[in-house]
Amino acid sequence: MLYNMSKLDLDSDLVISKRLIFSRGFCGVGGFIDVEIPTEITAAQSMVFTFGPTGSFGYCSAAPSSHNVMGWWSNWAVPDIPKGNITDKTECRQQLRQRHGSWHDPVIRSIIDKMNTDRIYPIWTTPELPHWRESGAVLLGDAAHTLQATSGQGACQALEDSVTFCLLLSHYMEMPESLGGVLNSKDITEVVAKGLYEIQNPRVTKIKSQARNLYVTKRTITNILVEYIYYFYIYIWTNFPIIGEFFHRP
Amino acid sequence: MKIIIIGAGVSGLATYLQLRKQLPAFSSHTVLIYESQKPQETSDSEPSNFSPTKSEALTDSTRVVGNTIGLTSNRVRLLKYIDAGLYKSFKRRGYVSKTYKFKTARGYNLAVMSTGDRRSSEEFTISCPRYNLWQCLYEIVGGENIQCRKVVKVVLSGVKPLVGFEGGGENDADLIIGADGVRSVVKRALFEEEDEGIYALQYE
Repeated sequence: MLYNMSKLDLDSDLVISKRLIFSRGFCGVGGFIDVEIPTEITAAQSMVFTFGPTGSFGYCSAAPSSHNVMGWWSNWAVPDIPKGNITDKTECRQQLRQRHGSWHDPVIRSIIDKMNTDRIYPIWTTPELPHWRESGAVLLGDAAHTLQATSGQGACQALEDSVTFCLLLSHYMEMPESLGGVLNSKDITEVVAKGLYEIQNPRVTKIKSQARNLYVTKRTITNILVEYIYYFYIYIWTNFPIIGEFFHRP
Repeated sequence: MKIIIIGAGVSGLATYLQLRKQLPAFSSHTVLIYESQKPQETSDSEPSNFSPTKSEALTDSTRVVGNTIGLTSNRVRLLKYIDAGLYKSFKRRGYVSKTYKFKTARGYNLAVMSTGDRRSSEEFTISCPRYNLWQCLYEIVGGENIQCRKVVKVVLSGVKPLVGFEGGGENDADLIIGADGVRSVVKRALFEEEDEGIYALQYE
């Protein structure tokens, strides 16, 4: 392999960011606003993730800082599937205020004041599929494993699938003899698609099950003790990812 | 070898780019991309003038235009591996987010983590609209290589797999790549009625 798979696997930053953002049974809303980038971002060039009893809120700069474009997203747990993706802007803002209006960070409040989004996305996932291929057809990216959320890590996985697939395909097309004999394109396709699944599927599955572990609650937290236990839990996950891994192996 | 890529989203375009570069004797192969909707050409594609707050929803594969992505350091390196120009234009349009800051609603800081990979010429997470990544890919692939045809069915029972288009017409290939997103036609062909059953999208 031209890039190091084990390095990718051990990248705890990546796994954690996904773990914190994604889960099933969640909704998301997000967008962009034209605004001067606050010091909360620029001081340490940060993507800021805030967790609370009513969900999570994140923001970052979405372009070089001189462009003054900030991206933001809010995720929350809901017991029922929302009926449609679209509500209206006022309704959307009101819901955001309900969830995050009392939160400490003034940046969050100012984003809610300025935002003009009216779309809410339920966060869907694809169940683990037994294979991604059949008779000369193969699935890549979201088609194979939807990791849908407002902060779009699905794009990362799509890139990885694509690189893995193309490496395997060009390898076997250059050296079909490495499979033991002359092969036709159907055989090559079969071997390549099988290899893709064997490499990528365990990675996707791991990310998804870790995501489920983090969101210990499915509803709004109303008990302050539970809220602090939740913070402590996130503290452990983010500061000592190895301990987190140990207790929450899928 | 004849390859059909269904969907001109991030995975479809990235796949096309790599096949163009890596397949031995590319010109002896045929690689087609079909996208169900016509990508909206921005009248001013100059990156410095691009404003994600003003862009409208694009095609089905790119409709999550309102979303922010954080492309982690190892994926940024993948872009460089795929195409040096792609890497450059993507980095130029995004923001180098060097840390993740985790906080609580009550204002406590839980952690600040570096996003760097601690390798030589260190890479960090790049944050930007998902649309940016798609646009960088689109510019390098070139719109002329994308055919605006909606694939409504995929048939896998014949000697060669084939795709059927809306309004009629078919095309066969040696390989069909289903990069057609959340509601994939290829996935439906693979799993048939189970695509709407045990393998349907889940919302808990």
